[in-house]
Amino acid sequence: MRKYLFFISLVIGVIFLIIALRSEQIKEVFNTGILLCLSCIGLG
Amino acid sequence: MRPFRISQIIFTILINSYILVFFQKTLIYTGYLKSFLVPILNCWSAPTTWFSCPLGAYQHFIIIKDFPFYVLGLFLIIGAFIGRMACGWLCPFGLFQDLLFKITKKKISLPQLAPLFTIILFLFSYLFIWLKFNYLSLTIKILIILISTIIGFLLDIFLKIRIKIFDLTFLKYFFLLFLATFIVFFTNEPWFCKVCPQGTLEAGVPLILYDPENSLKTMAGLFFYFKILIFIIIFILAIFIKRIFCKLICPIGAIYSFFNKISLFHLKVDKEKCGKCNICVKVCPTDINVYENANQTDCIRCLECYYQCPKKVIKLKFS
Repeated sequence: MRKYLFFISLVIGVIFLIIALRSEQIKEVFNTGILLCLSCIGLG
Repeated sequence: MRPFRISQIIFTILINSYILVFFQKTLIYTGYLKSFLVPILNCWSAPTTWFSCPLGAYQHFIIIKDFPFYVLGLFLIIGAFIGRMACGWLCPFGLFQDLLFKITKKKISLPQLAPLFTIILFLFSYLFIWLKFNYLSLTIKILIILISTIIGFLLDIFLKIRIKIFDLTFLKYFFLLFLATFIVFFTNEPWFCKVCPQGTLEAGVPLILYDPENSLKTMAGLFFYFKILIFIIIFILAIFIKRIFCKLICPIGAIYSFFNKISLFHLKVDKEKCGKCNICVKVCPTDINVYENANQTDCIRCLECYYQCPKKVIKLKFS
């Protein structure tokens, strides 16, 4: 059971990362700070 | 020194080593590596950090109404292999709490500090006011929060409710679902970042102190001091209670905790040989009962129990 759940998690994780790559979410992470920067330092 | 401690120190220095920021007189590093996430809590806005925080990115994707494939994909893969091990071996805030806990030998058990209604009424009144009654004056807001907190405190005394540590650990799921997800979705504001003590430690205070252009100091207002207050509360509690932030608050720990039972790397206890001496429980940073269930959701896989077990009945499995 542990092995099946491990493989399911791994496969879904890899699929998610592929989707993230294709939809350019990795580039989008760079923009995180534009929204969050002031909040992170408690000024937003 | 234990391997997990060496790993914590190296990783903390490694991901926060962009000291060029001080020579370039810029606020933070904004290069190519900022597109990559670290698997633990590490503030995006920390002046010397190279990478992004997965929880910040998670909230960012919720704000822009995009499913967080990148963040959840990372959590799924890391969780599937090692469960919550990243919390024990890589997290800078975990290291910070571990060091704080070494300050004094006087320890407090969490049940004495777990007034349920006080916490719930404080959180709800604070969030409710912020979301619904933003037009109220600051004094009235603070008064409402204070009064509801006092009512919660009186209820705790009157009903004599004190929650044990294992019961309270559900709070981190509350923070994940409520503060880092639902409220973020409906208000388009990164609420966890607004109160994150790691952000205060790594970004808030250093940036205000550093501030090469004197642009931030003038902006620091009430919310900044509120954030400092939360940090001070966590700071004081962490001196007396082991890894309090990881046990009760951290949404990343909450996500990883689901994988502890299924991860490839796990612990196994030979229950027949175990003498139930309780040493593993005493040394555990998250107070779990190792010999009953070594892979509980709060285990951060620091392996302190493995090293200190006198009969060596705890085995490491990678299968």
